[in-house]
Amino acid sequence: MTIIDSGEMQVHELAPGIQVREIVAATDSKHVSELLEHATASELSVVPFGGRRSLATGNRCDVAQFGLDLKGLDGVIAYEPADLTISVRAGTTVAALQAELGANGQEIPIDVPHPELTTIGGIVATGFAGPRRLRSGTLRDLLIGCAFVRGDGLAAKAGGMVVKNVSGFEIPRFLHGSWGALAVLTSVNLKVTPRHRAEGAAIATFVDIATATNACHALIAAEPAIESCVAFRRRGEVAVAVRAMGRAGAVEETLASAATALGDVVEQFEGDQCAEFWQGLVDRFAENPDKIVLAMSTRPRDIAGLGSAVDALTDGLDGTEMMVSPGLGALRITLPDAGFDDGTMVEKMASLAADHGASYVLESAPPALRSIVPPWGVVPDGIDLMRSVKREFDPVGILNPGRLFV
Amino acid sequence: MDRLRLLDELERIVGHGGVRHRPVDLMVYEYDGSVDGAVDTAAPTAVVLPRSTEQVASIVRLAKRAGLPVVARGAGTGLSGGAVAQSGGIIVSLTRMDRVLEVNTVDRTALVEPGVINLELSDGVKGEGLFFAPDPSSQKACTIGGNVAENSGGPHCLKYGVTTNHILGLEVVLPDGEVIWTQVARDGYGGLDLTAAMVGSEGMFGIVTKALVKLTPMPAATTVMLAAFGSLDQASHAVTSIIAAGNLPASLEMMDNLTIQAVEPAYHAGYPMDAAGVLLIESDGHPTEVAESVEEIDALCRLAGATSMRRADTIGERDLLWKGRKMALAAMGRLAPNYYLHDTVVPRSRLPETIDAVESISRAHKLKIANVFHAGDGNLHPLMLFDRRIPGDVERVLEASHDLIHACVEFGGTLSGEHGIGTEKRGYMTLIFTEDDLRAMAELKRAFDPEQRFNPNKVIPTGYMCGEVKQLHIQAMRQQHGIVPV
Repeated sequence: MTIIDSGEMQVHELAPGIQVREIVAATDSKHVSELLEHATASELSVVPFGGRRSLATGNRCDVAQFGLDLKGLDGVIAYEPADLTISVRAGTTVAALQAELGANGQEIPIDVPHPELTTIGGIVATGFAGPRRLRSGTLRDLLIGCAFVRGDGLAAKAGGMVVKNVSGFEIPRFLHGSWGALAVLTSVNLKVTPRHRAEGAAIATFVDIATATNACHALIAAEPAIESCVAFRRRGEVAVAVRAMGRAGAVEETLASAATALGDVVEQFEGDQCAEFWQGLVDRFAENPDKIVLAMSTRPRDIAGLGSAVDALTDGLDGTEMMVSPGLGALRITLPDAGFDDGTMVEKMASLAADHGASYVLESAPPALRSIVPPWGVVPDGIDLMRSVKREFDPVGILNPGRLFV
Repeated sequence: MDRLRLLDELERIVGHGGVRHRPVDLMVYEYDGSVDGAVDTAAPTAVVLPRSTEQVASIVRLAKRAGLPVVARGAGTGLSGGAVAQSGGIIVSLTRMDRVLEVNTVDRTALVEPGVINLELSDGVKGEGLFFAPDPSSQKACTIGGNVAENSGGPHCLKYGVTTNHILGLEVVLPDGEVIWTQVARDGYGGLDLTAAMVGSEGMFGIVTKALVKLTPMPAATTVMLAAFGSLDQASHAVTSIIAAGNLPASLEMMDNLTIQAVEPAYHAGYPMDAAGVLLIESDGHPTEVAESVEEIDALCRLAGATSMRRADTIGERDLLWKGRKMALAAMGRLAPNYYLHDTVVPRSRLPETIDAVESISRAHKLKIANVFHAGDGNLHPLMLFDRRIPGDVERVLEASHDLIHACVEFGGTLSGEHGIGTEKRGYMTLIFTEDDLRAMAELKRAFDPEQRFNPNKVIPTGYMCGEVKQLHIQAMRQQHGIVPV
């Protein structure tokens, strides 16, 4: 991170548009609680961070007092493979977590961009979900408990270490996707699954995004065993990629049948190569400080229309790429910073989203652009209630002030 | 506001046929499925049966003006007292809002009103090759709104998850009468996941007037197996080895001999009457995957000491094997006039110890306990059998319940896997949560319901909501000394 001398005092730039005066490295949850209690009492703002992969998402903010570094709050707290559950500190990288689970033939079945940098607390806070959401769901579906510190410093836990639990209110799943606005997660409890024994992918070329998207819909309807199915446009070419995961025999058959349905198969992967391909795709379309990245969400029935419109708008423009997850109604577009940073193109895409009843989030953009186009799209329904919740968790508003709606 | 005026206003909203107020008509609403004695019954001031979101919103605004509690109710099959109006007030019955508004096979969603019956939803979409995965045992009667309130489970949640994993959005009437749509956290959405807060909130955060639910594609192949064992210990070790080998079946249920004694003569599903326990295992998915998995599970069961194995592939055969499980509670009447169905969860690896503990408790309190488990999840359903006409029976059951709950918490478990806390387990919350934990929950609730009128006196222990921490200390001490708080 950069240290900037702004004249009066130095600030640390954690990410473009996110600056803090001092960095505090969390040692344990008591330390976090004391810091937040002090910050609330003294009305000093706090930006919690892990791998700093998603700090560039959101509104431009004023310089905050504290950057709370959670990477040191890492490691496994409890893991009993026979229970298919694990409790892990929030600063643990996803790669470290998957390695621990992998050694016991288990995994958390999710896509994560740059897993060696992304912390589990961070990915829970941002609510990211990739193409595996189609069959395996999201982290929200795997969360069975957590320990957290509210903005006012109250340290508490909710859930437990069992996979079925309706004791008390569902705070862990509620904190998923709350972007550090309500509390700092200090540890999470997850249910895990047996690791897939085999995987494979098939890539087929298509003439345009619309046809590719419809091919995905047809394939998903015919093959419920498909793990992921996306249509993407990259370097001027359009393709569909399909992934199957499970036992070897089933994977082979699913892919064979998918290949027949898709037609023009140009590439096939299996095992590690398959994993690398999909990780590459997820990384390519994830938040990135050097690009403009937009994520859109609509109903699967409407995604073909939205996809075509975005395609028409950006086709032929150098350096633009898009990926559609038709079964999820999800769409991602990346643009290079250069040439698009006046906001015109992004504004057009925001309008397109509105025209097609889609919501959007500007995941990456230069700070200046984030003042032109609202990064979180339209104000969500229930905003008053969200603000009431925010006041209960963070009465003075010290956590990520100004960065989000709440 | 006086009662007559209230009734008048309610009739203005829903019409004359939509309000119940005569004592004889209110009696059936004093109860839900919970055990009388473990949960108090209580009469509401009135019951109202709306047909639309607008009517629900008007009722809620009226209740706000009148300063009255509001208790939402579906089919009233809940087991923890969630639909009982402990503090009086207006019961809003959602049973007349029972339409499936839309089914979309591309989205794989259904938009439903809260009064839609769980099984009827699945039956209605099976023609499209879809079903609604959460399948609690009460699914022939329970409603989607109730499933949302309790975050209901069922035998298939081992693979498919619980209700919260299948709700994509909710239309909610908040305690101040505002109507909002809640969303789930996902790419391209920038708000809080209010849906996550609503599911499992036991009617305390708002009234659901529509639910956008996820529908699941029916698997290409399904096989059900029945494995019989000479001891419950062997059966639970079979469960452990099945999962350790990397299988996650759709369902992994266990029943003990006492349960078999009840169900087999009633339904003739083919459960060996001399087995100490049986495992009912359902594998589903891609046909090749299922075939391989079934062979593996068969071998593992035999290795664990299974005395017999049966397999069912056709829907008729599978339904018959399942009948023994799904109708287990209904069959209990053959063994005793009353039962208290418990709902505790322990980590899977502690299942053998927990089964032993249940047996000790049964002996210590001289109570017959039939055991039905979602073994794959570690979710036990011990059924304590008794006869409330016999003096002392209810007290013995309550004491045994106290011991059971304490034992499960000691093994690293929790108070409830499916049934909810309601009034039934409210007094035990301090066993697993600290004051700070409870405060965080109470203050989340306060954001939704600052006047504390939605289903009051549920979930969060007595005295806590007023910040009377001292009462909480006293309560925790009572628990340590073995007095059952109610």
